[in-house]
Amino acid sequence: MTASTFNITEEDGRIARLAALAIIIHIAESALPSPLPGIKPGLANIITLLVLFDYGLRTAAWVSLLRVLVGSLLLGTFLSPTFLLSLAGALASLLALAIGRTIPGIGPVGLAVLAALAHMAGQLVMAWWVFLPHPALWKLSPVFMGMALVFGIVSGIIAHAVMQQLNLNSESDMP
Amino acid sequence: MTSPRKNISKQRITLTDIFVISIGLGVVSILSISQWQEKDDADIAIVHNNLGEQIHLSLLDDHTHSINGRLGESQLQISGGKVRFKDSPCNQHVCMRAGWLKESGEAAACLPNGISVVLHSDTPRYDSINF
Repeated sequence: MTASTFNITEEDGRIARLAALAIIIHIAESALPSPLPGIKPGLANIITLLVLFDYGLRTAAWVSLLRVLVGSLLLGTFLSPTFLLSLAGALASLLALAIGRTIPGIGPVGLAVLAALAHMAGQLVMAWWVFLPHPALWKLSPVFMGMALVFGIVSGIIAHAVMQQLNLNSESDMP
Repeated sequence: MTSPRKNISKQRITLTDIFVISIGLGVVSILSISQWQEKDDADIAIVHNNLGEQIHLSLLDDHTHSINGRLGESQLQISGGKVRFKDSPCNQHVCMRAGWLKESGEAAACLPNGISVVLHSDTPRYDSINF
């Protein structure tokens, strides 16, 4: 019997580290109280955004989907409605990021807003499709989308600040 | 590997970002208007008399309809999709003071004359409205 070997590439390690970071934020955020189910800042998406800028869409997709998977396992919501909503949101926001990053001149704030709106829209469509095919859901959509817009702007500003800081650090490392 | 992050401008929010945010605001506004603007004007007025008979009056054509009750003739005026008791042979004129009825579910009645009006639409927002 041959022992199976895993070749852990540099990228694997990077994805694992970044996903771990995103999961920590995801878990910490789940402890925050929320006025309405489904409204939360989505700070873990800042990591997705940073990864997108630094390592591209492929790595960002890995980090985002691992975050959803492991986050749900740790919170005990794996395969529950919450998980499905989370997954739908993550996929929608990845799609938005893939399209959004081709827009010339777009910065972290614009991308974060696109991702946040897509995330919320994805969740709403999933909620409508699987759980709650009732018009009342759409009555709430302005609130949900409005909050997504606000939190998207906030996430983008934070992501930009982090990028500036990382740039400063890397410049001082390499004279 | 050169990091594309280096190309990020020092500018926190670019013009494109503002454009994206504006589109987002537009989407939220359109959602708010389309989802929250209630239009529930009634289509028909259902009138009952003291004998329990029921007639349906369309609110689309303006006219004044007379209906006989216990005391005499009540006049219902329909104008611009609204209806009111224009005149009634009662003493207190509570029915007339109810004013114009517009939304589905709104109602007015002249109890002495036995005449009541309830507005109805195909997509009622409330089952009934009481004051």
